[in-house]
Order: sequence, then C-alpha cells, then structure tokens
Amino acid sequence: MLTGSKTTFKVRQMVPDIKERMLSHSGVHARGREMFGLCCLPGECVLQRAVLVRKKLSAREGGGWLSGTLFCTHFRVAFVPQDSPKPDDNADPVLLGDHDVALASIEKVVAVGPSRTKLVTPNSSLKFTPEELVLYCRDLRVLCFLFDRLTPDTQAIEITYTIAKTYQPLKPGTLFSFQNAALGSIEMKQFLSNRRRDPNMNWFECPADWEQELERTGATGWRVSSVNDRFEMSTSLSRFNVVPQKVLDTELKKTFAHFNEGRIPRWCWRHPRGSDLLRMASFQNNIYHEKDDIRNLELVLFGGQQVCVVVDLGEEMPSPADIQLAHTRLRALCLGDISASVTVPDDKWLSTLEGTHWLDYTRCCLRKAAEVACLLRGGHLTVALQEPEDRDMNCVVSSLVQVMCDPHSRTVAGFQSLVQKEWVMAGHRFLSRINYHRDSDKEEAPVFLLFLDCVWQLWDQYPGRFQLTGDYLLALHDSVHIPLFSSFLANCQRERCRRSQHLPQSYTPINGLREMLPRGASDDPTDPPFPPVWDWALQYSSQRQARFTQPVSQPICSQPLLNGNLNTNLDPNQYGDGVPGSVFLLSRGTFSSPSNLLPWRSAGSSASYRKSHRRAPSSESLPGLERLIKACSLTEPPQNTNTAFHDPHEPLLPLLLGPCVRVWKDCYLRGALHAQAFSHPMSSITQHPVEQLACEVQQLREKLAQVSIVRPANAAKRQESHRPEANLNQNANNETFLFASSRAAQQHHASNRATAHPSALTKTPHPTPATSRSSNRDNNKHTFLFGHQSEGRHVPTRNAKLPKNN
Amino acid sequence: MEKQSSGSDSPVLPAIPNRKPRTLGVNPGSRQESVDSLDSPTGSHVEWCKQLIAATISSQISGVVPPEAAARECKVSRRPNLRVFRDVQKQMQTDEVPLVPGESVRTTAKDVMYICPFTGAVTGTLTVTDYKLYFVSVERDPPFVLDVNLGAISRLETISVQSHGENTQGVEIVCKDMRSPRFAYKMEDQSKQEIVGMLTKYAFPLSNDLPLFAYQYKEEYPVDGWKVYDPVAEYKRQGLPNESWTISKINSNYEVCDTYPALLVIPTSIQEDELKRVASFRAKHRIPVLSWIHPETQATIVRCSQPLVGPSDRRCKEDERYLQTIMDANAQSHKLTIFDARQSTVAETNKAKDGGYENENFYSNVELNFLEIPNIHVMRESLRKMKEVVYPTIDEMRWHSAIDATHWLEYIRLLLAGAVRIADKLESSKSSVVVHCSDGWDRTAQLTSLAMLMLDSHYRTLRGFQVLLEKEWISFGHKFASRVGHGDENHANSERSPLFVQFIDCVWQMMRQFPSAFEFNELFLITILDHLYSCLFGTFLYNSEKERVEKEVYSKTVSLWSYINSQLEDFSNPFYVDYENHVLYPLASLRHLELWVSYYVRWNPRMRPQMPVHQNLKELLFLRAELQKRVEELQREVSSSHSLSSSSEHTSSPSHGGTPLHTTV
Repeated sequence: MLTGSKTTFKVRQMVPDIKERMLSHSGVHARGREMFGLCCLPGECVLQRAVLVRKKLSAREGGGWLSGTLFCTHFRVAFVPQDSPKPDDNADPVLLGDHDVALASIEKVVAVGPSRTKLVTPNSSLKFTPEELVLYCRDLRVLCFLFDRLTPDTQAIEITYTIAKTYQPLKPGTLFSFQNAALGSIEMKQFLSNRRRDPNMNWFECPADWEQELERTGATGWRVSSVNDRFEMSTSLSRFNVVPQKVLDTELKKTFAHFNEGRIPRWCWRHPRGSDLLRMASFQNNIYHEKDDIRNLELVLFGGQQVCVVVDLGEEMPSPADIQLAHTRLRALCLGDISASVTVPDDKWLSTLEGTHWLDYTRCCLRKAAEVACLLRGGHLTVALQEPEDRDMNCVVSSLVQVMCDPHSRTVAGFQSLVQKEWVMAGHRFLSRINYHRDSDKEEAPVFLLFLDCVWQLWDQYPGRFQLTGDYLLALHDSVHIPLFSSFLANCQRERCRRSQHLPQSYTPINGLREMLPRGASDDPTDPPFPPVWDWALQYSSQRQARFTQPVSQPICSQPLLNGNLNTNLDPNQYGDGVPGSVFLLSRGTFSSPSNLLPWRSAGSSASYRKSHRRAPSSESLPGLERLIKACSLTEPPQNTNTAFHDPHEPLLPLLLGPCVRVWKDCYLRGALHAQAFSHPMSSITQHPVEQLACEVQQLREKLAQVSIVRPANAAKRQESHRPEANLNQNANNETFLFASSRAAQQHHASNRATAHPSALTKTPHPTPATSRSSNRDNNKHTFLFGHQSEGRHVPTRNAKLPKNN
Repeated sequence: MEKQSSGSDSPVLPAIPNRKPRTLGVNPGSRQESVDSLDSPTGSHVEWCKQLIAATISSQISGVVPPEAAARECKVSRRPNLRVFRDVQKQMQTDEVPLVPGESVRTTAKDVMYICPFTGAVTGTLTVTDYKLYFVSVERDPPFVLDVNLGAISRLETISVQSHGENTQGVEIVCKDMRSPRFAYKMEDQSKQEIVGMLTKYAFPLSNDLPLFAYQYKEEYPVDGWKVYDPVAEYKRQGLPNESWTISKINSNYEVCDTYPALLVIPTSIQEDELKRVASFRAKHRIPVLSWIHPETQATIVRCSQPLVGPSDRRCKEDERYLQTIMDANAQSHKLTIFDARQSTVAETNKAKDGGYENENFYSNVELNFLEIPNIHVMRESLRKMKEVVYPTIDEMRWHSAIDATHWLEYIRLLLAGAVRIADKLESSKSSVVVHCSDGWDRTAQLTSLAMLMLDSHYRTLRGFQVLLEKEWISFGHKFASRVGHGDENHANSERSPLFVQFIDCVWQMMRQFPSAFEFNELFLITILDHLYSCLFGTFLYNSEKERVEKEVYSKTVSLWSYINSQLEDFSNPFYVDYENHVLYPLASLRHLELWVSYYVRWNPRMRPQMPVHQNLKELLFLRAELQKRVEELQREVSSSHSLSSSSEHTSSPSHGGTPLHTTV
C-alpha cells in the first residue's frame, strides 16, 4: 500500500477551498479556537486541509497507520486523528500536538506519486496527484502521510503545495514570520507573559540563583560578582559570575583584559570532595602583567586551592566544523531520502557510520569529561577548562562532568539547571550554532546536539542512575529545531536581554544581590517574549511529559550538600610539592607543567612573579595526578565493579570501548521509513509497564495506609509481634524502596487523566490490554497490564514492501 | 556453602557466592539439598551474569538502604539477598574446586601462570577435571577465578612464552565460545607435564575412547526435561491431525529417513509406496513434512531437502503430486511457494552433483524463491573473523568497519529477511510454503524455526521455545555433533559451523526488537549456547534422533531443560506480555541489527553489560506481591475483628493477585 496504485476511478469531489479558507479566517475571530477539529493557537489559521489522510506511525508510536485529517497552518503541519476527542477550548494552548510538526522544523517536502517521487519546492509544480506526502524534518523525524483514495485530489495537491510554499526553507528574515505566526497574537502574548516559570530548577539569572548553587554544592570561598552586570567587562559573559571571595570587584575588573573576550576563569561546580571546576577562555598574551594583576590572576585561577590543573580543550577536541561535518554525514546516512537516488547500501551501514566520525567525537567528549571527573575526585584542586573562546567544548565538557559526578544533574530539574548554567548563561552561541537565520552557515555546528548524544550514551549505559529518560533527551533534541525558545534564540545573555528590550536599569546597587523583581510576575523585565524551552507544557501533552522521568528511580541523594568535606583519604598535598600555586596542563591524557602555561609566569613578564615565588613548580607531583587519571579506568578495566556502585559520588564513568558507544537509534533512526512499517506490540501500551507497576504499587500502598487506619487500636500489640510487617510498613513510610511516592502519585494522577480522555495518544490500531483499562481505579487491577487478548489473530498491517534484496 | 562459590569466571568480578536458588514450587524444602547444588553445574556464564546482576542490585540498594535494613527486608521477603552472603565469601575455601555431581579432579598443578590479555599475568593453581578447567589465583583480592568447560575447547596449541622464563611451556586453549585463554608453566614436575595430556584427553573424549561427560553427570533435578517435547502433544496443539494431515508412524524405525524423527506429519492421502518414491527423490530421503500449520488458514510450513533433479532435470511424478497435495490441503490459496535457502548459483551447481531444485515448469502453481544464504563454510569463516575482532583486544577506532568486514550481521539479516518472507507468505498470502536448502538440516532449520517464532506466540514462551528447539533442530536432525564437534579433536573438520549460534543470535535480535514478546531473557539464550558446547547435558548431543536412541541419551544423560525448568525465574523476562496472536516481523535491516555484544564480547572485562533495568521491574513486581499479601493479611485481620462494621467495605480489595507475570522474583 505504500505506493499501491489507486484504482482508476477516483472520486472527484470539488471542495470549495476558498469558502473553507474564509471560514477559517472568520474562525479566528470567533471565541473558540477549534477549527475543523484542529485546536488552533490564538491567531493561527488553517490554510489548507486534507481529509481521510493516514499517518504512518513510527515503531515507538505503535506502528501501522492512523487515519485523520491533515492541516497546514501558518505555523505547523497538524494531523488530527479521526476519533480524537473534541479539543477543550479552555485548555492552555499547546504549540504542537502529538502528531504535529512546526513548519520551521521541516526541511524537505517530498511528494510520492504512482510512479515517481518529487521534491516539492515553493516554485515547483506537481504534474501528478500525490499519493503520499513525506516530510523530512530537521530533527531527523520523517513524517509520512498517505492520501486515501477518498481524499479529494484537489486537497491532496493543494495541501502539498501549501506546505511547500509555507514551510520556508529558512532564509534570513523568514524566521520572524514564523515566530509571529506562532506567538504573535495578543492572546498568545498575554498567555505567555502569564506563564509561571518552573520553580524547581535554577535559572541562574540572579545572584541568589548562583548563591543557591554555591550552597547546594557546599562551595565556600566563592562569591557572586555583579561586576559584569551591564556587560561592560565582557559582552558574552552573563551578568553574574562566581569568583573567589578574596578578589574584590575592583581587582577583578583588571583581570578581564587578560582573557579572550574577557571570559575570565569562573567557578562552575564543586565536587563533593572539595575540588572546584572552573572554565575560562584562552589567555591574552600580548598584555603587560602588572604585579597586582598577577596576584589577582593567580587568585582567580586557583580559588582557594593549592593546585590547579588547566585542561586544554582547544586542540584534541573536535572543532565546531568537524562536528558540523560529522552531523551532516550522520543525517544523510540515517535519514536516507526517497527522492534521492543515491542511498547508502545497507551492508555498508556500519562502515559508513564509522566514516561519519560522529561516534568518535562522542567518545572524545566523554573521555575528556571522564578524565576531568577523575581529577576532581582526587579532591582539593581546581580544574580549569580552557578553550580559546570558552563557548563550545567548555560547555560540553563542564556539563558532562557534572552529569557524571552530580546525581542532581541527572534529574530533569537538575539537568535543566545545568544547561541553563553551562550553556544558556555561559554564552554558548546557540543562535549561530543552530543557524536559525541561515545567515551563519560557517558558524553552524550542532555542539549542543553532540552534548545531548553524550548524555544519551551515559544514560544508555546507566539508565538506572538517571531520573530523566531517553524520551526527555529526545524532546530536548527536537526542541532545538523549533526557533521559538528564548533559550536558543540568542548567543549570550546580553543578546537575550536586548531582544526583550529590557536592559537593566542604569543603576544597580552594588550589594543589591536580592533586589531582583519577583519571578513570574507579569511585568518581570527579564521575562523575554519567547518562552524558555523548559516550559514543556507549551510543547507536550501531559502524557508525553510524564515520560520524561523514570517511574522507578533511585532516590536522588537527598543531601548533596557535603561542604566539600567528603573523606578523600588523600593527602591534599600529595600532588602539590609544598609550593602553593603549582599549575599543570592536562593535554592528550598526560600532565606537564610548561613554564609558559600561565603567560604572567613565563619569561617575558615573570620578573615580578619570580620575586615572590622562588621555586618553579617541579614535576615531582605529576605521578600523583597521573594516578588519578588512571584510576578512572579508561586505560584499565575496573578492578572491582562493586565498589564503583557503592558511592553515590563516584562518577558514572562511561565505557568507551568500540561496542559501548552506540548510535542513538531512537533519535537518528526513527525516520528510517522502513522502520515504521511494522507494528510493534510493545508500544501499543501507552504507558511503560514499569510506570504502570509503579502506579499499582502506589495504589496498594494507599490501600495499605487506609486499612492500617481502620485497624483497631487494640491490634497494635499484635502488630508488634508481626515484625516483618512492621518493617515493611516502615519501609513504605520511609521510602527506602525504589521510588518516591510523590512521583508515583503524580503518575497516578496523569494516568487517571489519560484514561478519562482516551485521547489521540491512546488510540491504538488494535485494542490492547492497556486500552481496555477501565477508568475505574479499582477495576483495573489485573486487566490493565497483563491481561490476555481475547480477540482474533492479530496481524500487523504491513504496508511497506518486504526487503527485496537478500 | 563451598559449593555455592563455584566459579566466578570473569576475571574482574569478585566471587560472590551464588544466590541461593529459590525453592521451586514443586516440593519446597525437601529439594533444598539438591537445589542448592543446582547452581554449581550451571556453567560459568550463569554465575557470571548473575553476579553482575547481583552486584548491580546490591549496589542499587546499598546506596540507599543500610545493610541492616536490607537484611531485615530479606526476612520479610524470604528473598535471598546477596549481601547476606557477602561475608560468607571470605570463609570460602579458595583452593577447593567446586565440582558437579559425577565430576572428578584429574590433575592439579600449582604455580601456573594465566596470561590474561586484559589484566596481565596472574599465577595460581590450575585444576583439570573431566568436565572443566579451573584456575584460581589468590594473588588478587578477591581471588581470581577462571573456569572453562572442556567441551568448549576447540583446540590446544602450544605457544612460545619465552618472555616468561626458561624452560617454560605455554598453552593456548582455543575455545568455541569466543575466547582463547593462555597459560604458561615451568616444565618442572610431573603434574605440570600432565596438564596438556589431561586437557587433551578430557576435552576430546571421543577421540580418546572416553564417554562424553554427560554420561557421568549425576545431578538430579526436580523436573525431567526429556518430557518437555512430546511430538504428539505439540502437533495436537497445532490442531493435528486433521482431515488433510496425519501423524504418521512410517518412520518409527527410522527406515524411511534415518535423520528424521520417528513421528512425521504428512498428507493423509499419500500412500506408503508413493512416499517411498518421494523419499528416494529427495536428498538423504528427507521428504517434505509438516512443521507448522496456521491455526486459521491451514497454510503450512513444510520442510524437506533438495530434490535429486540432477543434471538431466529428472522428474518424479510422486514428488510433484506430493507437493500438489500439500497445496490442496490449504483451501485458501492455489499457490505453493518454495523457498530454497541457497544462493541460486549454488543450487544450480548442485544439479551437477545430482541435487538441484524444483523446476517450476513441472510443478504446477509452484513459485520458487532463492533466499541467497551462503553455506555453512561461509558462516564458519565469518564467526572466525568475528573472534579476531572481539578477542582479546578491540580496536576502538575501527570497530564498526571491522564488524562490517566479518559480514556476520549481514548473514543475520539474510536469515531474518528470509524468515520474514516465509512468515509473511503464510500470514498475508495465506499460502503454504516449502522450505529446503541442500540437506534440509541447516539453513532449513534456521528458517523454519525463525518463521515459526514469528508466527506462533507459543514458541516465544520458555516452554514453547524448548519445544521449538527440540522439534525443528534436535528431532529433525540438525547435525549438532558434526557442527559443534562434541568431544572431537579434529578442529579443522569442515563439517563444523556455528549455525545454531547464528540462529540464537537471530532470536536475540528479535528479542531486542520486541522486548516484551518473549517470555525468556538473554541469560536463557546464553545458557543454551554455553551448554551447546559443554557436553554436560544430553540435549544437543549427536546428529539425529536415531543416534540418540541408540546411545541411550534419554535414559543416561540429563536434559538441559531439566536444569532450566528447575529455576525458570532466572531465565524469564519480567517485561513479558503474551501477545498471543501477534505476528512479529523483525526489521531485517542492518541499521536495526546489533552485534550481540553481551555474548560475543562477554569475556572482555571492560565490557560491563548494560545496567539491567529490568531489575527495577522485578523489584516492583516483588514489592507489589508483598504489598498485596500485606493488604490481604490486614484485611483479614480487620474483617475478623470488625466483622460487623467494615468488612464489606474492604472485601473487594484484595483481588489484585493473579497477574500472569512472575511475581515470584
């Protein structure tokens, strides 16, 4: 049926298109946002629709086909399944439905006719009636819509044209109209300005946020400096930066000039064992170092520590251009293209994959981050990541280190805070790197996507140590391709502020750390017109958001606050040779202490430095550091896998062996068309079995609590004798079991809602145990997960041709 | 307890004693003794996997629950917790070799050096029994243990170990299971000189006029695995016999075909003399017989060997009529599809060797397809290359292209694609298929069993899969003895080929793609493969049912299924949902196939298997069971004390039980 020929007599049904369009326009002014079953955003209007269209479902969605209506609006291509419930007018608008794609994410429109396929561009004309419409998306999805025999031909042609004309292969300037179509209406603006921010995550926007992070990690000796409040010191740094307490703002001001773009060493994170992670740009070499400056530079770099390791990320890491090339190749390989005649033969898949080098780069980042993680584990040193610009690989490595070492970063809230801290606020050039405007082709490089892939690798190897899931990573991956989120629409905080026309007032009290306006207030000046990407409710239905977190996850260590006093068994001076201020360079896996590492210490300008430091750092302490790196088992197999698990502060060290670094198939290969051909029993259960079980355990627990209350008081004595039971109860109360009950309760709530509205998501081609679930909580006990199907033999609809080549 | 310390094979893992097997439902308590020892014969990998899982679980818990609480939890659950055993570990006698019943030590040599490719040389004691090679070194903490079943040994090679000193001899033990441990020892005393001799003798018993170890193995299991497969019951499950098909005893003395089972399902209307003429027209007399019948359409999978067409395009009227009858037995379709697994060119050359393929002109309404699958020699070579890629060292940068170059996944893809075509023919086109290759015992078995696995959910259960293997592979004469070379010294025998491994790999690929459709887990598949070589059980011994009867396998050896079915929960998949009537079509594209790393690369200690998420589910299932029990208990209590007031309110709640999942975790 994929390309099955239509029968010769077609039902010619002239649809009054113009009338429809007029209808849709008048609909804008009507109160309801519903149009032909499509729940429109305020101001959104339907340009074209086609009825009786079938959408090919991916394996994850359950496979097979789903029939419904296809829409094209100014903003998106939407698909509404046939029997989806009436949209609720009062519900908050969701930008994209479960089957929708934003026009801006579409990369290519291909029409498949009876005998040929054609790439449809705004200028092309179709000489045939498309039977199938394939949308290739930037986020590596491939959507495939099949026009039914009953779809009026004109509709099929028109919607193909409309999509081709409106999807706008991004050019400079076209972005604005798209953004306007999505968020431009007054209602939408109003709605957005009233959104409350997620209070669970740290936005790193005001000094208090940074202080909270200092407190969380137990970092002492650091303070938040607002010396860059008006971006006068460094345009690309955020307003607030964490620097050593000992350095006064006036002194600090002088250090900016010594670093590229003024990106001075800044504190990122403290390891529970007391090491600090810093990041900085390269040194400005052609500058005279005054004696006072040197003291401050040393202070800024060393924090309170004796030893500093500079990790050079400039040379051995892939450059943005490498990443871009690798990603382009990977895309071409994974996506395939039915409109192109050249496809990668299947039997060369692995070799071609290797040839993209994408996995090499992933491994490279992970290895570097693991090295840094091991260094930090040693305790009592500063590790300063250095990259010429401090805006790409530093982001990747610093955040990967934290994902490895900090359990908090593996929760959704923690991860979002992390991205906010190390990417958004630190000035990763999202706008240029993603190249939304198509005006920075040379700059384009999916560095952030590489980072997400690295996180996925970690998640894939240690799924149980993450609270977030692969679905979450996928959602974030896809959001990058929708140019609507403030998080990605600027290159640094300064631009972000500018865009929102809310540069801070000319005067900010020096000590006014907490003077910011209350968050979430509608007149919050820092509130940009674009929503942050973290507002997931804007993008995803609650059912899909529920999949962002693991139903069963280890309770995140409740007190990550360790004040850096974790016992290290390590002599703090083991790698210092007694001289404070030893500095080492980690490059290509080995340590060295080149004399010119810190320009102010090197020959030309070091006269003043030598006076105060008689001894140059010796290389005696190198073995100590090297041992640390070795311990990270990158070169040796783990001696004892057990101990690695015991300590929650042990970093999650990734396995980097060939077979261990894998392709993120759920992301890159979901578009492979043949992959969607067959039905997948597993996915017809909308909820993950573990979630359902978690739910059920929670219900039981509630029931238990209920019964325990009913239990007469005089039974208490007997309870004493039932020790095991008492223990169990206690366990339940203390939540020593595998998951937090609040989470399960949420889950429960979500699932109740899901059953109340058997929405588009729960629509499955074949009734399954999951859908046969009754909404009555007490009735779903044994049927809901494992019930047998009593219907007839089920055969997945197989519409794709069988692989012919064997 | 000593017994429980049986080998940690993995060089990196501490020898955590086994979890005590749960008492089986059969007769708890009284079986404890022998159940305890169940673990010892499991072969290294089971322990290895269990320990990994165990290590993970305990670590998952340990971060959260203080050990004391965990121990208490144990009591509540009556579930053995590993932590309890951790202390025992220290007490265990490291130099005592764990033996399975019937096993005896042949020689022991001290100060033998194991040249570990991963962690460097380590010196310890090497013991050779008639079943395994056991190396233990106390140099490391925890003690380092290496355990190799002699059956897995393909050949022994002396190697030069100059670097380890004068008068030192080295031996490399090349194994069939993707590893080659090397030892070095000084040629000083008698015991060391014996090592190679003993190894040779007991690794290749058949070449040394000794019985296979399976005949000495004296373990007793609560269930009898030989009863797993009852052909009549299996055919009855499929709805046979019916008006078109009959269960024939014509081969009960293995006279028609000595490589076929005693019971065959053939068309009712075929006369005995006709059948004999068909037999003489088919290679090795392997006539077309029914393997599987579709419960609704009556379309059938029929297997046979190639027709003896020869260079002159011989015809056999009876054979033509026979296939016509098979087609007619299925009213839904007027076509019959023949899948010839071979490459068409090979089929053509076979004509010269008196073999060949059905001529579509002579067989009316027959459609012939070649599946283009290379022969056993190609597969053997492919796996050999694979071993070079994965053992001992892995080239990180060239990993993917190296895997590509082995073509192993490519052949997996061919097999799966072929099986999908067969399954689809039955399911969608409703037409019967005939599958054959040359002799109909290698590729044919692979294809029919894979297609059956796709079509029939029964075969995706633990028992069903055992039946499938017993039926399609063992009873229909896949030449296990020749392909594996049990106890045979002649490692270069060209008859050897890892076809069964390839099939299990295909099953694993399907499991990856349909994680909840199979009742068994990865450990089950690995266990099967390990005992394919181990010669501990009689299941995979010999080439045909006839031979097995002659050698009294059924009475003198133990079945692998006895062991497996005695501790099913270790082998079951907690995600399993019985998709009773689903047909599974795996994606036969290299993009969706993966190398079975946890089997092929399992000896590499840097390859820690992926964290078993399913343990979470098991924990939950267990927790649920406990809570259910607790709710019920409380309710009983409440209703007895409050029978007047609140009982009615709560009687309905304890109805949670009865999920078909394995809550006995």
